[in-house]
Amino acid sequence: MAYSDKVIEHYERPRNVGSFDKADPSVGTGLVGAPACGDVMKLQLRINDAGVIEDAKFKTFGCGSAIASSSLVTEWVKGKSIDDAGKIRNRDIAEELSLPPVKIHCSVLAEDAVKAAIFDYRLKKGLLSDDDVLASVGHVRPAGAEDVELSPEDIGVFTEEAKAEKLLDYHRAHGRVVDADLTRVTGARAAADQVRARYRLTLKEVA
Amino acid sequence: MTVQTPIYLDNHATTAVDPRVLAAMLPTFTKVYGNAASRNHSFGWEAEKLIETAREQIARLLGASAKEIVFTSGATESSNLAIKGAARFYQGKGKHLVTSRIEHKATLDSCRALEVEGFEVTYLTPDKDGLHSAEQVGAALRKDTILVSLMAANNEIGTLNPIEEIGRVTRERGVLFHCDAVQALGKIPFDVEKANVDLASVSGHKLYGPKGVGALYVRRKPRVRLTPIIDGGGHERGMRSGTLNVPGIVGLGAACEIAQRELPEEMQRLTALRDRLLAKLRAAVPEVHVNGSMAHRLPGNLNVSFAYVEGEAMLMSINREVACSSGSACTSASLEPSYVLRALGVGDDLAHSSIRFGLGRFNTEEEIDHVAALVAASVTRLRAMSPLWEMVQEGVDLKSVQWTPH
Repeated sequence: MAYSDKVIEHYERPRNVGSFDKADPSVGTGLVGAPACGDVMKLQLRINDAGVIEDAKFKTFGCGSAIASSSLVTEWVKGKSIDDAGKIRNRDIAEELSLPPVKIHCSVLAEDAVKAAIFDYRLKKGLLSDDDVLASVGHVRPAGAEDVELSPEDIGVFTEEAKAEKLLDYHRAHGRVVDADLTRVTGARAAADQVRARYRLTLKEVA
Repeated sequence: MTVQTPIYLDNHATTAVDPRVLAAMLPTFTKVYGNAASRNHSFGWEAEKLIETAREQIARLLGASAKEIVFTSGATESSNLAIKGAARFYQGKGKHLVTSRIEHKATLDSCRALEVEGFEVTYLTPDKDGLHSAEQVGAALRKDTILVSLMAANNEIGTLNPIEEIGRVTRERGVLFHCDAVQALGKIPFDVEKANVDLASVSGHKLYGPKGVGALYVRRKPRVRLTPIIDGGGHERGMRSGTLNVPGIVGLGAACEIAQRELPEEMQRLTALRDRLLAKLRAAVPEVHVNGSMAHRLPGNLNVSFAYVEGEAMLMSINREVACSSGSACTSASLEPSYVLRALGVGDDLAHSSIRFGLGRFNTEEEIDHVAALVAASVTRLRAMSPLWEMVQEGVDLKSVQWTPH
């Protein structure tokens, strides 16, 4: 497959490769993708108290387009507020790098990585309001949840059990839970015989 | 000393035409350009003479007789003709076939097409080394089995099936044996008599001959009959109509003659080069996993996974200097890693990390050393930016991580 010059350029001279200390309270870490799918991105953001991204680092296991997508977003997010960074769309990444259709998923992953890192940071800082929590569920993808019917007590649909549990912990810590169950609700075809599991986290108020 | 780049290490995909083969072919374009089927002038007779010489050369390498060679456009056609042709001709005896999950697509898709016609196919799963045993084949045979189709050497992982043992079983049970010999022929000894093979697919461009020509060996004693898949002027004893590709066939013949003469020496030389490549890679970087049996493998094949590094990313960093291929999903439009590696039970993560080196006649020791150094440097660079490698260094068990498949 022929790569665009921009992909090659980012691949050959990737910006901001590296890691921050995950435990640092000013660092948000997003880890998205799966080795079995051939793409894993780790994106870390160092965020100041004003909510501005001061620095970003990434490490990516994946093809040239995945590496270029992550390298590009680390450049784009620097200096942005986390709100603005959260608005970066995969289409912009794909367009900038001239990704062919079969590589669009690389840009989706980069967008997810930014959102996951921001979410992790806010979770750490206790910055999540109820609305935030509901909204942030977006990054753990209720999108693609068309085939799942959400009821009012559902707090989210997750592709990752660990993330669901994290949210559950958050609610527990805030005294909101109560009675929760984590159920694997549906499987959608990803590739051939791979089953993509979604988890539905249900919260029930205790009187 | 400087090595000329790019270095070609994709000899399972295709090979360069040997200059001696080209020399044999050239007169057929401008001097002996007759149609070998023209019976009443010297142009036709001369062409036919060349065809018959080529037939002898190919038959000799296969341990067959010239009358058992049918020329085709390539091995894909040969396998289509063998499998569909035999199945359709013998369907009165039964409608069951046996093959393997790691066969070439020409075999698998021919079988799929027959399934649509109402045939039943058993797809054997290889062991973790990529091998099938004669016992496994024997156990899959039924009363209505008419054909077993198994390759001599696998095109991705280079593993060698015990075809002589398999041929004994099929012969004993009265089942036809089609063998895709594309990767094996000219690379390792392959003899249709010793292996009791009834049908064998051969390709020109995998053994330093031209593209667009192949052959099918069709046994005469006991006689194997086929329903043709291409109808027309009744060339090749009615099994394959169409004007013979004289330049291609002459090239294929010359390639077979050279291969036969040089095979013993070339096997030794390529095995040594291949082992040298692996040893150098292993000395330079940890976690190099060989895919498929090392003991039963084509001399020129090395298929390895560099854990925690994605295959296509690897190729991207070396492909200005080295040509090889990857079983990573990203090299195909399907986004699925190699079906061959998956059938062996290689995890998807390692399948995505696989690289196939195909060494050939024209590779040198200097080239191999250069490639080993280049690949090792690339693996080291990409691991330094791999989150998986980092996690493993931190002692994280990757299997314990909840990933988000996408």
